[in-house]
Amino acid sequence: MEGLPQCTALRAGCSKMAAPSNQGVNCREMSAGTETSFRRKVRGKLPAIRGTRPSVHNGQLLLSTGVPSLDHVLGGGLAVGTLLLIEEDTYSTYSNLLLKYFLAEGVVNGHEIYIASASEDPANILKDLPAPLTDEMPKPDDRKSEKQTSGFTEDPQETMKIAWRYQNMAKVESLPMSSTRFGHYYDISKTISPEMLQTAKSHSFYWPGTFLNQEDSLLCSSCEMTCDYYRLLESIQRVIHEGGYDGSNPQKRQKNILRIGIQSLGSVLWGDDICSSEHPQNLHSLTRFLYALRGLLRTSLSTCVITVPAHLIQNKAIMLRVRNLSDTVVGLESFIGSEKETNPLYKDYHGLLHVHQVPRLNSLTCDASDTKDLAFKLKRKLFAIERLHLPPDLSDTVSRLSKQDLAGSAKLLSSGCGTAAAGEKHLDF
Amino acid sequence: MLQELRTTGSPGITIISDSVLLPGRDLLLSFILASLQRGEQLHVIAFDVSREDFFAGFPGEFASRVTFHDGFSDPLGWESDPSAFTRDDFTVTSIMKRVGRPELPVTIVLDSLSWILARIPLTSVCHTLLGLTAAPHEGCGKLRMLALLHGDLHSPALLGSLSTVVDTFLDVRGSGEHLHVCVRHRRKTGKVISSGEELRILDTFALDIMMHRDSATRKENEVDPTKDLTFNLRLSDTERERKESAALPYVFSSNKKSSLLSSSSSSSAKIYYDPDPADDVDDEDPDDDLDV
Amino acid sequence: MFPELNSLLGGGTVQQGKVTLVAARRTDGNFLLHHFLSSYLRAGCNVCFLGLVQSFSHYNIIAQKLGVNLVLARGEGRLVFLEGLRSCTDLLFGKKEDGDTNPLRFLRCRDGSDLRPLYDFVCASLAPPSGGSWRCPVLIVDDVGVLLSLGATAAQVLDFMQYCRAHVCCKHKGNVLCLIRGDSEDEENELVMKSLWHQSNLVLQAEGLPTGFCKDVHGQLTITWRAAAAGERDRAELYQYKIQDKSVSFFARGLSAAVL
Repeated sequence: MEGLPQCTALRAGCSKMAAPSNQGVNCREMSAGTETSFRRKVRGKLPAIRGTRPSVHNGQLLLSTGVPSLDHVLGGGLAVGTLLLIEEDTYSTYSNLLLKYFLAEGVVNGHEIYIASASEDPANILKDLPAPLTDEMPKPDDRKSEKQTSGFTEDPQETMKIAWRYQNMAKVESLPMSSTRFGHYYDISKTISPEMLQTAKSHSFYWPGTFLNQEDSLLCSSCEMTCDYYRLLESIQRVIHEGGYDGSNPQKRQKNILRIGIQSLGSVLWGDDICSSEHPQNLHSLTRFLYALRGLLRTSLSTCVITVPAHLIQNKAIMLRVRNLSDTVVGLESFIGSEKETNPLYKDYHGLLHVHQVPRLNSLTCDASDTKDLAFKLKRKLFAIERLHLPPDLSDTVSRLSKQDLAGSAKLLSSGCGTAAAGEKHLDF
Repeated sequence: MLQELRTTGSPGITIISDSVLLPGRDLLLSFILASLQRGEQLHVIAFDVSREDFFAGFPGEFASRVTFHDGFSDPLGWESDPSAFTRDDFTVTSIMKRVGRPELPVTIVLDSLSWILARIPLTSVCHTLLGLTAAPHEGCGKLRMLALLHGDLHSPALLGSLSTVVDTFLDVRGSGEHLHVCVRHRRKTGKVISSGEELRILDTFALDIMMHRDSATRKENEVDPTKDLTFNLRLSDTERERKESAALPYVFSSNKKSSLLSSSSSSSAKIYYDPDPADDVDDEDPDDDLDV
Repeated sequence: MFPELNSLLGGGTVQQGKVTLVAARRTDGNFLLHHFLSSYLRAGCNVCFLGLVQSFSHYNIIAQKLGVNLVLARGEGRLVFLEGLRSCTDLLFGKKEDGDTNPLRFLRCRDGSDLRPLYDFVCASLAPPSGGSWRCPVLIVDDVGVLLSLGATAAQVLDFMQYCRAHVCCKHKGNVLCLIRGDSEDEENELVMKSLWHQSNLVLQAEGLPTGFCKDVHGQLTITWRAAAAGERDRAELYQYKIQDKSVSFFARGLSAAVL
């Protein structure tokens, strides 16, 4: 069973994706479930693909979502060959932002980009990507001991002199640190420089620009999915095949990753009616597309992020099936326009992040963080995802309110990781 | 009532409705045994289980007397098995052809009706069932129909519609060792009797009824119509006492009489008058002007 | 296989002619599937695995942790593996002529036609080899609910499972195991799950804890042995489990090692 980096062994007959790189010495002795970020020293043939790293847990190839705190929540990053589904918030503000971070990360790492959208011209989306913080001076951490360290290298975790015991401790990375090779920070007030954009190879699919003509209807009748999804699928397959991401043309060049971003799939603009009617006709188009996409992703060096307007889908069954067919599912709930905006419990944050599902690929266990109450806030240079804290209890009324809200949010949040049912009871400890 | 229905044979269509946690096949087999003991001819059309699984635990000498139509192995004709009972065979003519003219009372057992309902529209299923049981057929008289239904696979509306068509509906409920069966039987006269029975199915497939409560005994628990009214029709004892002791104002009771008598012995009543300055006291009698 | 689960299920030799249902409610029940796959292969059965959701390497890597080599089993002919994802890709983007032999060619129709091609594939893969030794054939399906997502109706899926049962269990005295992942809000899925439950001999239902997420107890498992013969009642047992890297530990409710 050969691992990913053996490009000569990528024959069409074997599927290699999401397979771990060759294991070197296994330094881990503890059972899974303990959380340290002990890095296994993997020797052997490492994939020399920029912007990826093998997972600590099972050596699977991971790449960054563009938001380092989201990477941490998902257990290190997104596995190559998988699909991340983002359930949009009410006005798609933050989901579009996450998509942009994902694509910007691809540009910075030199990955190939594929953008599909039915609402915005992909060229505009590209132009709007946030600029990376490449020249930022690393700020000192709060712990005094770290101020002692002399200068920062690429990886500050290796240089702690006094607090060296804390070196490998997992922490939610919400403070800006110097840019590492994995995961970058972006400034959303600035757009990415055109020079950097030009270095990136990109493909796009803009649904209004590819309207149905006679030829297409004949093509579609052979595999009768809704025409727009079939052509999107075909376009993706063509890019994967021509770029050699599925193992064809093995000697072509240095291996790279294809990042696919699809905006607002399933919405009305794609020609689908699952968001607009309670009893839609197109019950299976989206699920069939996701299944076929999964087949393409598993056999290629690509990762896909799709945003779906889940709050508009009336038929719960469709949403459940869509979730089952995705690997990682994350839901955003923003406070804009809801009563939570004025709730003192949430005053520091812009919304909640729900992790609905994390994949268990090539392993019985999954690697996500255990925290279920996550909230996010957007700052100019940072999209931070943090554990939801109660604000300090300064008045008498706040404590009562927050307890009820916690119970409510605990009900919402308890269905994380796919391992728990909706909690009916609020446990006080 | 269940025991009676079992031993004499329930006319028309009988449905046994079970669920995932409470399988009703045992009850079905119990009814089949009773029918065989009456000497009837039995045809079993099974879609859910194979012959071996259906008769697992059933006494062999009885099982051999049953005509088994295999709807399990090839219900859609994929294997092109000519002896198989397919979905398209579920029509009155096709079933009657298989039953023939035995000159004996015939009971048709269906396992399960849920399988049929999932593939054939409800209307045609009901018409088929009625067509088989309502009118007498040549050579076998009126057929009896016994069907197993998985109640948790259908909506309540469908179950309601189905129960209007059938004559007896047995709903298997209850937990623990004993089965609790709600029986709803409609007689030929149109009268509907319902009862709840707790029973146990013995190894011999006889029924051991532990307890039954039918609609006749329920008359004893009559609902008090005056229970939830907004006004009070009855008085409690304290209320009655207080009512009795209340002194009414215009009744000339003995107390009042004696008080009046005692007060009349005192000096006569006097009238005290303080003249008001605004009063015009004219001692003249205005009537003196009159010349009468 | 997981030794603890094996002892909970009664251990011993592989029974024949049994239908097992693995129902996962809102949680990942795949660990049960891996257990059965490795235990059947170890027992020497011929297995036909319809892996519709994940790639072959995923199952192989986990099976290696459990001590079974799927590549070797496949090479020796003891395992026939259908990679649903690959078949789908081949059907959509491969040559047209090859599509006529594809087991998933029901995907060609918009509203789903019956699953007969898939059934023919199962029959062909579990057919006894001419002159070879015939072991107990086993069919494992992962996961039945995906067929609903791909456009098949509940009746078509149930017909497919019935034919597989008739062919594998009754005709060849083999076993059938299917996994269905569902939620009570998906009505079609619930209907298929309940119908399969009615027809199964052994049901393993995995679900999350009703009290919410817990780090040390990943969920609870209800094992139901259905009445084998008339006159018996169903027997159910409840356990809680914790999934680790190479094994799964089971314990009675409330007796997790983290609590004691």
